[in-house]
Amino acid sequence: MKRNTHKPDDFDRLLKEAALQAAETMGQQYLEEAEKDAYYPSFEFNQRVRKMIEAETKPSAPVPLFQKLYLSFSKAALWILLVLIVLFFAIPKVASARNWVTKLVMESNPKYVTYYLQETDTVIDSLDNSEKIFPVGAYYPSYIPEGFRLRLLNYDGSSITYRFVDSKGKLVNVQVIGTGETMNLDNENLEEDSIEIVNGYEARYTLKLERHCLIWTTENYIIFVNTNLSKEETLKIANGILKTR
Amino acid sequence: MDKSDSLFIEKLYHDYHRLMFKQARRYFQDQNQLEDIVQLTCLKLIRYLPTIRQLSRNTLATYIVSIVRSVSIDYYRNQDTARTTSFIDLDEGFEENLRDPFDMVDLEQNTVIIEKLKRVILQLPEEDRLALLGKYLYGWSDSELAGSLGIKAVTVRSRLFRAKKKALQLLGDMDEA
Repeated sequence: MKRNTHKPDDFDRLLKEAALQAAETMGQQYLEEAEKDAYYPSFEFNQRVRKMIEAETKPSAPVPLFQKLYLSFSKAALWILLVLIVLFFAIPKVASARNWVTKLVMESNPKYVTYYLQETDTVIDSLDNSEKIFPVGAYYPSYIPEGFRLRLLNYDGSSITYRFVDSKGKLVNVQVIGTGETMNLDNENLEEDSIEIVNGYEARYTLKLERHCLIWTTENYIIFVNTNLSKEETLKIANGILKTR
Repeated sequence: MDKSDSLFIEKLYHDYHRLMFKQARRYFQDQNQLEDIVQLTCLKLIRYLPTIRQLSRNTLATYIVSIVRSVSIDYYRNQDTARTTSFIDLDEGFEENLRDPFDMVDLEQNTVIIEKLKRVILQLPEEDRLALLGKYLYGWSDSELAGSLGIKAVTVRSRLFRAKKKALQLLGDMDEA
C-alpha cells in the first residue's frame, strides 16, 4: 500500500464524496428490496399518518394581541415575584440593604417616627446636626471633644443615655434621667468634692479614681456627666448640654 | 411549515413507506410496534425536512433507513425490553481521545480513490457505515450519531475513528489485491 503525508482533511473530503456515492448505491438496493416486499399498511394506519403529517406541518396560528399581553404581563409578574423573593431573603441578611429599607420606611412615615440614627458611629459635634436628631425638649450634649464617637444612645421613654469613646480609651457618659427615676452615687473616699455652676444650676462635682462626675437637677431632669478626661473638659461638656427647641 | 411541506412529507410517506416497514421489521415483529416505528420515523423526518429536501431519491432512501434505525433504538430503549446484540454499546470503555493519524493512500487520482472508497464503505459493517454516512453525508452532530448508532455520545469519536481506520485498511487490502 502506498503511503503519503496528506492531511486527514483530504481524506475526510474524499470520504464525504465516497459516502454520497455509497449512499446512492445503498439506497438503490434498499428500494429494490423494499419493492419486493409485499407488505401494505392498513388504510387506518395510512389515515393516521396523514393526519399526523397534517397536524405537524400545519402553520402555527398567530397569537392574538390579548394573549400576547397576557403572556407579557405574566412574565413581568413572574420577574417581579422573583425580585421580591430575592429581596425578602437579602434584606434581613445584608446590613446596608436593611438600613436602606428601614430608612425608606421611616422617611415615608414621618408621623410615626420620632428619630433614627443613620449610623451608629455618628459624631455629635454641632448644634445644627444635633437638633435634627433629637426630639424637641430633649437634652443633648452639644459639645464633645474632638475624636470622640457616639457608641451608645439609649432612650427608654424617660431617660436618655449617651456614651462617647475615643481611640485612646477615653470615655464620656451623659445621662439625662427623668424625675421619676432614681440613681445611686458613690460618695465614699472621694478625692475631690465641690459645687460648680453649670448652665446656671448648682452641680455637684466629684473626683474618684480619675473619674470626674457632675450631677445637677433641672426642672424635670437629673443630668449626670461622667468622664475620665480633665475637670475642665468635664465642665465644658456639662455646660454644652442643651435642650432642643 | 407550509402546504408544500405537508405535501412533500405525504409524498415521501407514499413513496417510502414500504422501505420504512421493511427496515422496521429488522428490529420489531409486532404489528403495533412496526406502525409506531414508521409513524415516529415520519415525525422525525418532518424535523429534518430542510435536509431531506436536498437529497436525491436513493440517498434519501439510505437516510430513511438510518432514521428508522435511530427511531427503533429510541423506541426499544423506551420500551425497556431486553437488548439485542445489534444495539449493544460496543464502545463502552473504549479509549477516548484517540489521535487521527492517517497514513494516507495516494490521493492523486481522486476519482479512482472515491470509487474505491465507495466500495469500501459498502463493505463495512452496518454500524461503521452508518457512522461514516451520518458524519460525512448527513452532517449529524455527535448526539444525533450516538442516537442513531445506539451508543453514548462520548464514544462517537472513537467509533468514527475505528470506522475510518477500517475503511483505510480495506482500501489498503484492495490496493494490494
